[in-house]
Order: sequence, then C-alpha cells, then structure tokens
Amino acid sequence: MGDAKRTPSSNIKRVYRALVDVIALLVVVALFVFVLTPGETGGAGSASGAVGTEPDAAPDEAAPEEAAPSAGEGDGKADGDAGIAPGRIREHILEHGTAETGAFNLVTAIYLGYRAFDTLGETIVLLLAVSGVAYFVGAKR
Amino acid sequence: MKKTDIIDVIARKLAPFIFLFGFYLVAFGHRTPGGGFQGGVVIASGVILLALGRDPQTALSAFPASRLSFAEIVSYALLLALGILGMAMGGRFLENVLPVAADGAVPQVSFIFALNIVIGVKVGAGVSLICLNLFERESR
Repeated sequence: MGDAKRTPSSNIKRVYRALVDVIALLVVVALFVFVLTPGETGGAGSASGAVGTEPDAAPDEAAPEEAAPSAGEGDGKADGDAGIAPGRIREHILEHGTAETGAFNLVTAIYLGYRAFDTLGETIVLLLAVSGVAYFVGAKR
Repeated sequence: MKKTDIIDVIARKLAPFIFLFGFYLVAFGHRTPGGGFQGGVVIASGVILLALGRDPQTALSAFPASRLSFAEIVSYALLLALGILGMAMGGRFLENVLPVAADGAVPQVSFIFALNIVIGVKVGAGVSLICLNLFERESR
C-alpha cells in the first residue's frame, strides 16, 4: 500500500473516491441539520425541541402542581423562556411519563420516549465500531 | 487453551437460557428493567459463550457472519424507518405517533416495543459480530 509506483488512472480513482466521500459527508450533514431543525409547532423560544417537555413559562416555584396539568404537548405558547429548570422536568416525568409514553419503566420512557434520538446515536456508534472491526480484523472472504 | 467436556456441555446447555433471558429483557423493556440495548448485549453474551466454550467455527456455523451483518443493517434501516414514520405522520423525527395508553399492554406501547425489538436485534448482532471477528482472528 505504501508503494510509490502508482499509475495516473489510480490517482484519478482516488481523487474521485475522495470527492464521493466529501459529497456523502455533506449530504449527511444536511440531513442532520434538517432533522434537528424544530418543527413548525415549536416557537422561537422552544429551541430545546424535545417531545413532551413542558413549554410552560411560569417561573414561580410556589405552585408547580397547578402549572403541570396545563402543559399541553408542544403548544407553542412559550414566549421568551430561556430554558426549563431540571426539577420541573423531573416532576413532569414523574407525573406524566407513563401516560405520555405508555411505558411503566420510567427509564425506558425517558430514553425511548423522550430521548430516542440519543439511542439512535448510540446505535450509530455501535455500527461504526462493528464496521471498523470487520474491516481491520475480519476474515477475507 | 485446553477444552474439557465440562466446559463444552455447560456452554451448550446454558446458552439457550441466556438467549431466553435476553429475549425477555428485550420484550419486556417497557415494563421491567432492561430494554433493547441491555437485552441485545445479553443475547450477544450467549453467542460469546458458545464461541468460547466450544470453538468460534461452531458459533460461526450457527450464526454466520453474513447473516449477522444482514441483521445489523436491516434493523438499523428499520430504526431509521421508524424515525421517518414519525416525520411522515406529521411529527418530529422519532416522535411517537402511534396511540398511547398507560395500561402497559403491547398494542398501547407499540412504538417503544418496536424500538426495543429493533435495537435488541441490532445490538445483539453487532456485539456478537465484533466478538466473533476477534475470536476468529485469535484462533487463526
């Protein structure tokens, strides 16, 4: 592979392959940006964009029981909230997690119901690991 | 490494139960602790037990590398298709668009159930493919 004798046609082939790689990378990046763009239901403030997170903007901690049932799924009435406090997400998942995702196991409700995109990334990592192992130490068939 | 009959018999008799436990973890991931990833790793550990207790060629004859690769690719495509299904039916990517009820039966949590099955097949095939490749390299 480190041999310096290389015909011009193989050089052209390598350049062509690199070009195809770059184009495929651009397509993948464009698809990723397209997927990660919030949908039309999300307003300007809801850039966190997760399914079923609480878009309620009431910041008072005194009455979380009143704020939680009024939270619809993705209605874009969030005007100017920068983020959601972690405690509110915990209370929301404890109260509505099973009802919104249908899973009794709240861990499954989070990682497949609310954060399924994270699991998709994990499987992509595993797919890359498998292809790397099969390429480097796999049997030649 | 010297193989004895004890290791051979134990590996052959224990592997189906490990497969069964892995399938249980995958299929009941929405009710009990477990899920697709964990269940898939348990299934792969059954394959690894077969490959270590007997030899990698036996495990490869039961689970050929081409079929494991096929299962991996097809389940990954199914995972992406489930995500695009959410976009096609008017939601976001990987959004649950199927009906949901909180009684834990399978038709009501079908989206998470399908995700668990697909991820379990994918992780089981992937991890066992990694380990079988490494064992085969070792034994050559």
